[in-house]
Formats: sequence, structure tokens, C-alpha cells
Amino acid sequence: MGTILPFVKAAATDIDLPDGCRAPAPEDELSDGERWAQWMLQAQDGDRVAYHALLKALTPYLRAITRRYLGRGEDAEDALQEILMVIHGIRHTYERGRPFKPWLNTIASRRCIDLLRRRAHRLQHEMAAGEDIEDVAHAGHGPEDALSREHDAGTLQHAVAGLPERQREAIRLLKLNELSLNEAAAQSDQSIGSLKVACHRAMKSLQHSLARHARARKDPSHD
Amino acid sequence: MTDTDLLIDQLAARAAPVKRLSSPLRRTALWLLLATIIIALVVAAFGARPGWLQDMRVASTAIEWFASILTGALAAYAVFQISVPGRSPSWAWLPLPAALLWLGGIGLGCMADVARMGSDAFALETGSAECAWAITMTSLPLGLVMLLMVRHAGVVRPAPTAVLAALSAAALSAAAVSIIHAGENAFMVLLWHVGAVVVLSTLSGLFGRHLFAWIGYAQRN
Repeated sequence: MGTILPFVKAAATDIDLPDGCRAPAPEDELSDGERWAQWMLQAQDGDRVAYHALLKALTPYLRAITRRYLGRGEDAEDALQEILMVIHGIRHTYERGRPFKPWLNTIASRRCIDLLRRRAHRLQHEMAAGEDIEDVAHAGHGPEDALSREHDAGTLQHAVAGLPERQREAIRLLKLNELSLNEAAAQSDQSIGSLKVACHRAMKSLQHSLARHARARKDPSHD
Repeated sequence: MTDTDLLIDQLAARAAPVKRLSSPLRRTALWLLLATIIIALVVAAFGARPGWLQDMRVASTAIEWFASILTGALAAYAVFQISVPGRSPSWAWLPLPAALLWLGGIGLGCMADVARMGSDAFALETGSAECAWAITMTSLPLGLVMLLMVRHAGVVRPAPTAVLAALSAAALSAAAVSIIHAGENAFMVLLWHVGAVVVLSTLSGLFGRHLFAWIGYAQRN
């Protein structure tokens, strides 16, 4: 994976902004689709400013689509990020002169449907493969009360199952399968950066939910 | 700054220029050229069977052969259409008339064989099974080349794209094998040639999603 350079926002005064970015001009009368198409063509030629403007402009539109499929919450935001990465990966497939929105909608809806399908498969798989997670839950506990360990494993399994899909994938690859970031990125659609973020968020969520559960066990009156 | 904003910054920072896809017609022409070269090499390696040109004077044989070529070409065009986001999925039906014509040609051949040989026309020739093997072996490189050309279909329409890619590769391979392999009755052609095409297309449909996932929709960098 190439080095990721921080994106430097250019000042409007010293850089040739894409047409749709300029202050009141005839181009402002373009529809969203036309403006996006124009930016995409510039992005295909390597114009990073146009590309940044395009991705920014697409975000609310795509967020509305992902929320329609996946509801509000982290799943929808994760799906949005995945769609942005797919757009990046296959941006060469947008063809000059063709409408932009059907191109975008096909990508977005296919990703959402795939994510829904994967979420369903993964949940089934996780329920069936509870033993694997149980093993992880046992690690480091020592030979204590078997009943308590079983309960802990169930709690952890439940907490992992409740994570958004991308976070579950990050946990599975990095923590359960103990892959390196490079190996995990090669096995998933997520970049190293996204995996790091997803794993960090997942660990925080797990920490919170397990701590909450432990408090509830100590003090059942709080339930 | 949210994770999404950060991701947008990262993606924009590595937005190198990309080569746009050429038109489906152009890509089909390129792939057919490639397929012709591979098939010509196969035919050159094994040699055309004697009497192939005479057989082509029989209407049913000629229809069958040209229809299999047409099926392969139209399936390829359909692949290059449906694999692009935003293009109509209805293109997937494009090779259907040619495929029906192909089956019709084989059906005519079966009827001619029955008129000529009676029930012997349906005699099972196990030696003809090597045709199915030859079609599979020729289809593999052709199909893989095509899947690489449309790897982006993995996030668009993986299963139908894989089915049509296999149909295209196998139909063209069947035409190539017809040049090489001799002494089959029409029923054997139906069984082994069409059978191989159907099996390969079905398997591609079943495992297309996994195959595309393995190839990856974009070059990893």
C-alpha cells in the first residue's frame, strides 16, 4: 500500500479550483449529477482538489442511501466509508458523457446489499462458531470456575456480535486470527488505516459493554 | 474531524490519474482478438481434423458452428456492458438468441443423424468426453483473461458477469474443439460441448462472487 500523504486543502485564491467550486458562475446552474460528473473526469486525470470536492459532495447523498438500507448508526457510516473506497478503486469505470448518478447508485446499492448479505452470513457464522470465541474468552483467565468462564465467553460473543460489520471483521482478522495489519488488509476490502480505526473503535465498544456487564453482575440492583 | 472526513482526505491524497475504460465494443474486439489468437494456437497445436471444411457445407453443422461463435462474441459484449456500473443489466440477455440458434443447429444435426442412422444416433461415445475436457482447458485461460479485464465487476454484478464470461469463453472454445475433434454425432456434441458450456457457466455463477473477491476489484497498492 502506498504512503498516504495528508491532503492539503488549497486556498481558493492560489489554485485553479474545479468549475463547480467557484463562486457564482454559470456552472452553478449544473445539476448535482453534471457537476459530479465533471469533477470525476477531472479526478480521473489526477486532479486531487476536484476529487476531494467530489467525495465531500457525495458524502451526504451516499449517507442517505446507506441509512435507507442499514438504518442510522455506525453500520451506515461504515458502509459509506466502504462505498467511498470502492468509488476510489473503480473510478476509472465512469465513462465520459454518461450520467453520473446511475453509476454512483449502482455502486452504492450493490455495496449496501452485499453488506446486508455479509452481515446476515456473519451473524449466522458467529452463532455457529461460538466455540472459537469461547476459546479466546478463556485466554488469560486461568483455571477458574468453568461456569463463570462460560458466562464470560457468552458475554464476549454477544458483545462481538453486536459490533458493526467492519469492526467485527477487524477484530476477527487482527485479534482472533492474529494477522498483521498488512495481512488483514490483503484479506479484506479495508485499508490498513480503516482496519486500525475499526479495531480501535471495536476495542473501545467491547471495553464499554464488558465493563457495563461486569458492573451489572456485581450490582444486580442496577438492572 | 470524523473518520469519514479523514478517509476522504486520504483517498484524495492518493488520487493518481487513471486510464478510463474504453467502450464495450472496443473491449469486446480486443478480447475476441485475444481469444482468436489462443484458439488459433490450440488448433495449430492439435491440427484441424480432415474433412472439417466439407462438414461445414452441411447446413446444421455450419449453423451450429457459427452460432457458437456468435454466442461467444455476444456474451463477451454483454460482459463488457453489465460489468460497468450504471449500464443496464438487461444486456445479459443479449447472447440468448444466438445460444438458441446454436441449440437449434445441434437439434437439426440430431434429426439428420436419426434419419441417417436410426437409434444409433444416440449411441453414447465415451471417447467424446475428451471434448468436454478440451473445452474446459481452452476456456480457463480465456475466462481468466476476461475476468481480469472486468475485475471491477466484483463490486457491481459478480455472478451474472462470471456466468457470461464463462459462456463466452466456453462457446468459443467449443467452436475451436469442433475444428479439432472428429467423428462425433450431433447428440454427443449436445452432450459434451453444450454440457461443458452449461457446467462451466453454472459453476462460474455459483463461485463467481468468491472468484472476484479473490481477484479483488482493484489493484492493491
